[in-house]
Parts: sequence; C-alpha cells; structure tokens
Amino acid sequence: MQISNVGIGWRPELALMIARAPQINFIEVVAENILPADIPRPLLQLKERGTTIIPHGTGLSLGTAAPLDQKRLAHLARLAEKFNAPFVSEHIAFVRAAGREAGHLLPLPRTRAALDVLAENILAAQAALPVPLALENIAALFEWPAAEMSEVAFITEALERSGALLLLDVANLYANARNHDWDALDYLKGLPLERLAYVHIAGGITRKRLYHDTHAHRTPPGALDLLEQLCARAWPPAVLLERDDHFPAEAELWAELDAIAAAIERGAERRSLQSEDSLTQAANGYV
Amino acid sequence: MSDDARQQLAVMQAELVRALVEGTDAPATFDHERLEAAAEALLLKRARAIARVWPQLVRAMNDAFTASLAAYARDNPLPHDGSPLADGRVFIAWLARAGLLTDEGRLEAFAFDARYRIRHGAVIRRRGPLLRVLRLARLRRLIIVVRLPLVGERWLNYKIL
Repeated sequence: MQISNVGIGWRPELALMIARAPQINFIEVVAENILPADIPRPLLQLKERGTTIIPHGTGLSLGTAAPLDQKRLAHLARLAEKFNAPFVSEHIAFVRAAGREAGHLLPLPRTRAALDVLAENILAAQAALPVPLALENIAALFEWPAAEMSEVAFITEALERSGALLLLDVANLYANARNHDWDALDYLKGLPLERLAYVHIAGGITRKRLYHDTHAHRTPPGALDLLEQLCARAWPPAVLLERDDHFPAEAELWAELDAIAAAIERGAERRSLQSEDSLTQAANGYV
Repeated sequence: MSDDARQQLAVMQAELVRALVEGTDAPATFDHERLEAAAEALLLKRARAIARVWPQLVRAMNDAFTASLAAYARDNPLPHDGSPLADGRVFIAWLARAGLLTDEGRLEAFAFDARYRIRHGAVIRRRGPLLRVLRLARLRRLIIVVRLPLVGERWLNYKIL
C-alpha cells in the first residue's frame, strides 16, 4: 500500500507546531501572504528539512473575463522557484471583476462562455509558470442561474483542455453537496482522478441551515467520509488540512490529522479489497 | 470565443461582485437569499481578517465593531491587494472622521504609521528618520517614537495628567 502524505497549510500561527513535527513533510503556503524576497525563516528551515512546499494562490482569478494580472502570475512563478515546488495550485473561481475585489473565491457560471474564458486564462497561466498548475474546486453558497452543465463536467473539461492537474477539496465538495443538493459520490465518479495532484480537507459550521466552509472549525465527519470514498477509488499523493482561524490547541490539530490518516487508510483498504475481488472474478472468468 | 460573450460575462461578473460587496441590486435571476448569505460571509471574512491584524482596535470597540465595519464596507471597497493591514488602516481613518475612534485604535494606527504607509491600496515600508508624538487623553499616555540613522527606532511612553 502506498502511504499518502498528510500535511497542513502553513500559517504563522502554526509555524511552531509544524517546525516541531518532522513527520509533516508536505505543506502549503498562501502565495499572497509570502514575499519571495522576504520568506519567513521557519519556511526556509522547512525547505532545508526537505519538506515539500506548495505555493497556493487565491488571487489569480482565473475565471474573470479579463486578461490575467501578470504581476500576480510572476509572483506565483517566483515562489515556485524559491521553494523548488513540484507544482503550484489555484482555484476554479473568480475573485474580482471590473477592478472590484470580492475578498473571497466566487463561483463561475457553468456556461460554455465561462469555460472558454477559464480555459484561455489557465493556458496563459501555465505559459508563465515554471511548474505544473493544479486547480481546485471551490465551496460556494450560491450558484449562477442557467447552468449549461454540472460542475464535474465543467471542471473536467477545463482540466482536459489545459492539461492542468486536479486539487480536489473534499470539504468544498461536501459543502456544495449539502448546500446545493448535489450527489457527492456521482461527483467523485465523474472526476478525472488520474489528474489528482493532492487533496484539501477543512472544517466548517452550519449557520441558518447553510454549511459554511470556514477553515476555522473542526472537520465534519461527512468530509472525512468523502475522503474515505475518494481513497477507495484513487490514491491521493497527499492530503492537506487547511486551518486559517480560531486555532485550537495543538493536540486537537493532531487528532484531526490522525482522523485524516485513518480515513485515507480505510479508503485504501476498501480499494485493495475491490481490486482483489476483481482479480478473483477475472480468474474465475467473470470479467 | 466571441468578444461579445466575453464582454457579457465581464458585465455579469462585475454586477455580481458589486451586489455582494456594495449591496447594489443583484441580477434578478439569482437566488437572493443565497446572495445575502454570501454577502454576509464576505463581510464576516473581512471583519475577521481586520481583527487579526488590528487586535487592539477591534477589542476596544467591542460590539460596535461589526456595525461600524458594515457601514464602512458599503462605501469602501477592499484595497487592491486585499491586505487587511491596509483595509484596517483605511477603516481607522473612517472611524476617526466619524468620531468613533478609541485611544486603543489611535495607538495601533500610530504604531503602523511609524513604519508603513499606504499607497494605491498597498502597504509600503516607510524609510528614513522620523519623530512623532501621540497624546492619548483617555488612556492618559504620551507616546513618542523616534527613528534615526545608526540609533534605530526608540519608543517612549509617559503617563500624563
């Protein structure tokens, strides 16, 4: 069985915990918060230690119907070089339009026109980046009206047209499945999992009947179940916990990381049982 | 893709962002209850981000913080680099104009201004010598900051009557 890395998003508040935990060898930095010329010392030490560091962008706004901001793109490219990152990641979303910042990731209309814009921008980003780009599904509290396709179809086509990798956020999928009545398992089945670069998971809370992916609360059992379902279908090279606010005691985060590792293992066991089954069936002439 | 389709998408995206952050009318075909929830979440995120980098200001404001930030946010879009440092500093200027700024906020802004300034929505490090004095009437403190070549930065803090 291949062992997945279980990592955590690096934040200044978590720097000590991560520095003291050599078993964490996969982290992410929020690209907008790091200056390539002034990288925090703890991150340089982690790089020295051999930790894989993925620059994770939130501000490229790949879905905005306008040319990409070349400065943000160059920033992401420099970080990739500084950290020797195997790839960088961003979101299938938009965060600004007509010069106005939304302050958070917003969903795209699932139309052919938006898909064309997105694919063009991804290609432009890839041309400027020194490493592959992985793209993440977001959580959204609303959808655009008049969708021409499902989100799976939208994401799959964007990845296939651009050759980009997939960063699957199972907590975002959990949130959207709850808030928009999607079938999360169908979604998993439809994804091009052969493109999977890594996985995000995080916590949230329910407010006024809506699930909010806050990154500031415990990971819900439903998101861990989805992680298990995913691992029953495919092997994720790494799974990363995102915690951005209301940082709990270290022990609580360790418990979360343990729960993530356990979910991966349960999924992997199911996968190996399934493949044994199909081998037996093949031997018996059933396939 | 056609320029028309791109243009149309750009217009719709701009309309949606304005509806979410400025409270303008959203396109009718959206689920308005959901947009309201999303707008609320955006404001909450903005508030949490400011609270993390301007803790003294926010703590001293207590419950007044959320309402004041909501009023400020309607007329003040996020700075272009989205930095909560810059956002919070502009918010403090707004509070000062409205007569709502506390001594704690004043002191935090003073410390920020000694080292940084904001240009075109971005935070820029201040360089060169500096002498600034701040009198806090309610906290009854006099704060002085001096920055000189070779000497570096020195802070003085006196009790006043």
